[in-house]
Amino acid sequence: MEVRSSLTDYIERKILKGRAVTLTPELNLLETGILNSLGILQLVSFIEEQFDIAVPAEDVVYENFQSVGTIDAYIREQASQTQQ
Amino acid sequence: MLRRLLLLNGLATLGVVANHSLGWGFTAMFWWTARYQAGSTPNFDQLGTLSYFGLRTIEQLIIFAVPTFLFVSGFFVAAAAGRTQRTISWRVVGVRLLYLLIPYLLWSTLIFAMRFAEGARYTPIQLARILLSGQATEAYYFVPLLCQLYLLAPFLIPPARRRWKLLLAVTAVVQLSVQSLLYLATLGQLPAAPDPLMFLTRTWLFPGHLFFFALGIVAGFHIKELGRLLERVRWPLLATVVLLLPLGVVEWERVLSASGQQWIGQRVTILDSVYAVAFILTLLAFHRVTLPFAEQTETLGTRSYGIYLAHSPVLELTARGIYHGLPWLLAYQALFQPILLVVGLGVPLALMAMASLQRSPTRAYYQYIFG
Repeated sequence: MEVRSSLTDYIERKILKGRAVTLTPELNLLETGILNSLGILQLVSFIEEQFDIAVPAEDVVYENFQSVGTIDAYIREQASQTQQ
Repeated sequence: MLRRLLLLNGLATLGVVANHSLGWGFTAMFWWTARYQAGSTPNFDQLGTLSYFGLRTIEQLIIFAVPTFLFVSGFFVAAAAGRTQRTISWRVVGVRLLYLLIPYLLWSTLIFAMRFAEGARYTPIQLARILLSGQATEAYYFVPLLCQLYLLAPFLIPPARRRWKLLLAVTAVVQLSVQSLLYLATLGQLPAAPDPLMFLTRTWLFPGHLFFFALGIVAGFHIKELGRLLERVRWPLLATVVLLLPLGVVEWERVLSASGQQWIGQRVTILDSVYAVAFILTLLAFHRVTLPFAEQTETLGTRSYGIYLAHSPVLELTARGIYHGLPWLLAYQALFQPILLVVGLGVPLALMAMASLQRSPTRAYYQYIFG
């Protein structure tokens, strides 16, 4: 839940910037326009710094960045692979 | 490599503001000379001077700016299409267009208000034409252009995935054809060209920029292979950039001279396009090299659309303010340009910072104002 709350907090503060949107884990970030080209790049930078993982460019795809839930799952998977 | 895209975007943002500052520099150099020296205007005596070539060299250096924006947008389109979908969803395209167009319309309205205050009057059809072609101010052609490319994106994605060489070849031919038409028209070698043909060369139409966007999409889908290729050719790429910079300056002087005209507004030539592609790929190829002020430039990159929209009216008001209040300054590009650049970047950034403050009444509408 820490990953998810960290992600939600970052998206609300830095990307939504006060826009009145309720970020649920299932909300489609791309189809609602929350994440655009720059937002995705910004979010990837945050994820790499905050969670100390590398996000390969080929992993920046719709399936991994569709929602807070899928990003959360991706980060956990990358983190466990890093630990191994 | 992804952070390098943000850096590229930041450099492109700097480039765009600098480019439009240079435009005002050339205006001061040729059309506003009566404000600081005797004689009539236009006055092209400063063609060929150190000041002139200083501006031209910087103009040539930063010609990668719009191609970079298009490349990064193409990359995003590939990301948004993902691995399992056939193509990008129309919903994603639609919402992207919405958040491009709403700020664009707001800022265009501001510019119309400025023109109205100066006495300009437009019919509804004229207004519609101006908005459709991004002509409210010179820089705004980019928005209709980007919208067209987003509308094309669902059709570009399948070939970008599976037949990317063909896609790049076709889009390169389309773009080169348009740029060739421009050369011929500029040199007066196109006798009585049909208007529909010359219409295709308009800056706000997609054919003249299609390759940059397609390259971004292809890069998005094949980033691993691209990375391996760039690793092998990075030094030749860098050499290409270094070589094409002065060649681009020389080329434009030759074109200007051969055209028989005293001045031609900026156009992206074939050489410029090759330079822009080489510049983008070189920055990606050397992604492990830390550049000075990288973090600050990346931050600038995240604010690129807002800066893009806001800087034009800011630059115009500043340049005109100097024209009226400090005309002697127009003679000194070494002073005029830094002032424009600082104001052109600083004011939009300040507006964006104020609009995003916790207690600002505009915070909830930030995305509608600055994208």
